[in-house]
Amino acid sequence: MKKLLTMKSLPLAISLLFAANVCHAQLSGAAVVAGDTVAPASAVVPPESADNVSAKGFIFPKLGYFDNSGNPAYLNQYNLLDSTSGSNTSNGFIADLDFQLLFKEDGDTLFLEKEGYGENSQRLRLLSSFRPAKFKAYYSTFKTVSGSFDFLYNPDMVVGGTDPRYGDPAQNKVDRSGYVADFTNDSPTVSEYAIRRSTYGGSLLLRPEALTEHGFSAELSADGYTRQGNQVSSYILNEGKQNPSQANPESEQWRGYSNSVDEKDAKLAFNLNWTPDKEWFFNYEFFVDRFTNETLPATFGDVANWSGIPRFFARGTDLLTPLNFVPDSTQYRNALRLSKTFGDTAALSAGASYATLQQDTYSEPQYASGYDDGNTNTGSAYLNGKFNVSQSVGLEAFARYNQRQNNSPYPVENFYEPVSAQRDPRMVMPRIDNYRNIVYGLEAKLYPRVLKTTWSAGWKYESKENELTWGTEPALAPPVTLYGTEYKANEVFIKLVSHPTTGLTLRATPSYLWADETQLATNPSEMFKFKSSAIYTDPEWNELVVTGYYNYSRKLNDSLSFSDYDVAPAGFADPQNQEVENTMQSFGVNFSFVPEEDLKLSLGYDWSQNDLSAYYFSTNRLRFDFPNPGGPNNHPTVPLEFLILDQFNYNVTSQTVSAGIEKKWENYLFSGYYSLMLANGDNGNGLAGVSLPVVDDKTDFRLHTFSLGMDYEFKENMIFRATYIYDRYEDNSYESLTGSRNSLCLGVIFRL
Amino acid sequence: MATLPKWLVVSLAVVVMLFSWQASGETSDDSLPDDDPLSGRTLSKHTRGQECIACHKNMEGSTPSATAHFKQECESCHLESGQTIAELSKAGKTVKLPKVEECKSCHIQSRKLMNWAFSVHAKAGGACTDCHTIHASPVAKGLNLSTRKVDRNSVACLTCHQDVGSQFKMRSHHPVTEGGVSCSGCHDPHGSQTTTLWSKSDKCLTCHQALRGPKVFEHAPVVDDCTNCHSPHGSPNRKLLSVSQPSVCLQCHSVAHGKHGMSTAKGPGTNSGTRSISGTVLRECTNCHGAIHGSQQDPLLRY
Repeated sequence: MKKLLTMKSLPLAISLLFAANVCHAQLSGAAVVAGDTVAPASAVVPPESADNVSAKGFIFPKLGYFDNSGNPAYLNQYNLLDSTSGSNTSNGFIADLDFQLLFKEDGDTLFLEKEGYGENSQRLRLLSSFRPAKFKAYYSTFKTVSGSFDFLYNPDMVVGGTDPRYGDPAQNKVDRSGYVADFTNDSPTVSEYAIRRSTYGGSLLLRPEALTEHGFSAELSADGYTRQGNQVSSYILNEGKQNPSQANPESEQWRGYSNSVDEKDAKLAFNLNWTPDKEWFFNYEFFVDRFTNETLPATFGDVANWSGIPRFFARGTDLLTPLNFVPDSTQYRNALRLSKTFGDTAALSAGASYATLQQDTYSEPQYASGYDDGNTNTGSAYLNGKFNVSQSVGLEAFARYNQRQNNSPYPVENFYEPVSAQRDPRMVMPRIDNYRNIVYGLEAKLYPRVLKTTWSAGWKYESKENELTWGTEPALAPPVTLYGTEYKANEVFIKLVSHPTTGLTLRATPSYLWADETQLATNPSEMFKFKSSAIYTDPEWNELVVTGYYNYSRKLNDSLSFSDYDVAPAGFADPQNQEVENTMQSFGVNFSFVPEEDLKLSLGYDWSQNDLSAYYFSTNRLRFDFPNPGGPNNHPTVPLEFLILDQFNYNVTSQTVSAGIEKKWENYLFSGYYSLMLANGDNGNGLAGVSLPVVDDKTDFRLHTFSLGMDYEFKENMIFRATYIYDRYEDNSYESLTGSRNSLCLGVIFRL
Repeated sequence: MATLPKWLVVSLAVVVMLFSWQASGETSDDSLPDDDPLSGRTLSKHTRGQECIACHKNMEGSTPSATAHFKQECESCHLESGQTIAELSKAGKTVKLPKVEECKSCHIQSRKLMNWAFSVHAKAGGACTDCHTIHASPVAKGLNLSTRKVDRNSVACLTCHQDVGSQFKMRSHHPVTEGGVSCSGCHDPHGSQTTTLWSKSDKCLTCHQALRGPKVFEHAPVVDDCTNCHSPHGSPNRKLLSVSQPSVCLQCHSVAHGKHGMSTAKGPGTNSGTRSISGTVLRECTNCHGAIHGSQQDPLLRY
């Protein structure tokens, strides 16, 4: 029989099919996977005859059934099962096919792999190697409905999500905070929020002999993704924009809607590699990344239509002002890297890159005001050196640099400037003109053979620096923010890897960091970390494997403060420090052993805790409109005062218990698995916690997963597989989110 | 008329094509290279892999890398230079796994491996065979239902990084356990943070381009590092927040009276300090400040 397809034409044919599958995503290329040339191996394989063709792998058709009960929102969020025949996410059948196939001919190979379960979770991979090139491609699609889960926490879905006490305009006419009483959902018929991300790509590695004999290889790769669906978006309108003559405008101020998502991203990369000998490696990369947003954003004009109120906005408001505008953008990057080894004695690695990010589309108000050249530049570099003084002593040094420069227009009249007269939008936050991050350090390694322990001791210095433009009054000023312009920290650490007895490996890494200055409250001014793990294996005793870990970190920052603003004498005074303390711990132990032939058991327990406390500050007025003489909120005789209302505490503990069993009996293989994940704690106790609605005050949920599986090898190369899975999510803070799912899957694995 | 999903049609087409090709001539591939793949190595010529294969028939898996390695001399990786199986057997020892240097003797032109000398895994004493299965790939994923959707790379990572694995079980997580993403999508297992040209946020923005801007009104912690607010592996809080709202926001922000729902009407300057902000406002700051990652239009990040 004449071959319809050859190995070299098959990748092309499949690629075309592959392209057809993702054409809706405007396939523009291929993978992120780096080229991996194995010159000697492929070079020595003798030519095979044209008939020397083989195939390996398996095909696994399967059919599943699922049934949800209660509220499946949590179970669906990353694992949305949708019946194959018609869209039904409550229950139904799912048919699918997995395969892994390897074809060989004349030393060329073609590999295809597909895994998936229903339309919402698929992965396809293709690898083809035929001299003098290697081609890789992949496609995956995954649907997440975490937005639906988030939607259930919307202000109009939660008791306490709105506060009717503020519905009385008379009570709020001064503060204009009555919006808290009402939330308007502009998409009242939408409760399903889902986003499908489809990722695709491919790469072509060229190794023509004319290049490889001089150590060159070239790779062209492209990849991209599409994101399509909708997400929950909520916002609040500035009351100054609403029509002041409208009756009770605050009830229309706080809103939310189903925000369409339709994004496309395509990257193209060209890499040229040069390896003049086994110790040198040079790489040049050119990279372009184009992001396109296909949706038109909702605008103030849409909001006016949704509200149904004639003249919803005040005169002069630009009704083309978008909500959550995401522009198209393009990034270009050039990078150069090299590495050099000097036998086992030393190594060197260096790299540098320069990238530009250009905004390609602009909102109507941006165009109108002349803001039409949004762009940033980033530069990065690193240098690493390593020198082994002897077989038992090594030294290493490294430095890394990142910079980001904002070159976007500034100021832009009537749009974006540190103005003295209040208008919106105006600049109330500092503009980050330039951001620099420098890290360097040293590390010494000791390998004292007698102690069977590797010791490393090191020091690291990190600085972050911002060049900022602060607005002129009224605007935010440094003393009334917890935002510094510099972060400078030193860190010392020790790393230990020890093999005290046969089969036992211990790792421990204590470190201590101190910072003279910090930029953000999340930066530590002082931090102690301890990371450790242990692995013990004893093949002689039931093939025992025990692994464990314990991690601890305690982070403090008390270096940032808020200052009051006094009016007589005018100036900043009385700084009050924020004190953030964050302690995180995690611990886990896992056992795996084989008590008898064909029986495997595993048991695991993980525990983690995150404990954060900080002061809860309030101010008597907006921080950015002090004292604003002559302005709309002018209270030149009223000082700006910060007050510590309370010290809140976030403390949540998570635990997971799991157990598994696998038993082989004649032609059968049975497996069982159970896991329980639970988390509980306070999201913010004290004054903040007391104020919160029940669903937000506490974390208290658990997830059970129970599964059974069976393989039956009823013929050589044919295995029947059955699996049953039961999932249950229980939420004690938000009880109506409790739900469960049963799913059964049957299939036959055909080995080739 | 109902139509089959596009992915199913294409998948079936691929399989049909493969079968049509396969039926045209399937033979086995037992050939071995004639010449020495690693010049300069002393190999025991009497075995040249044939004796090994006689017993280890199933060592060739169904992946390209398995095929490539199967074509090598077994001794080149599994015996010390000049050593023979007979000597090893006599000494009651088992064959060794190849060291990193031995793997690199073939994998010399790999961009992935150019910074291996400085990689975290190299410093931790890791070997290629700790993560890579050189010969066989599993016929199908085993019956371990806890990792049934996890991609193969991530299974290898989670074998050692169990503390991270426990985070993927949390209520909000990157979907590694569901097969949506892979550890290697964010992490370079052959490199380190000292040999990267990415800034702290760049890596996140390779998938979340919609957040990269350029933005007119930026949120400083976003420019600095996404992990200021997010735990990328997993968190008990929604949206991967390392600390839930409002606590995550209150670390840096004071809450102004008047604009955030006080219990009674008050004018500026009457800061009694006893009145709490409405819980409705506190529960999720992003319910109003929805453009928390930066805005093109609103300086207060509300839309």
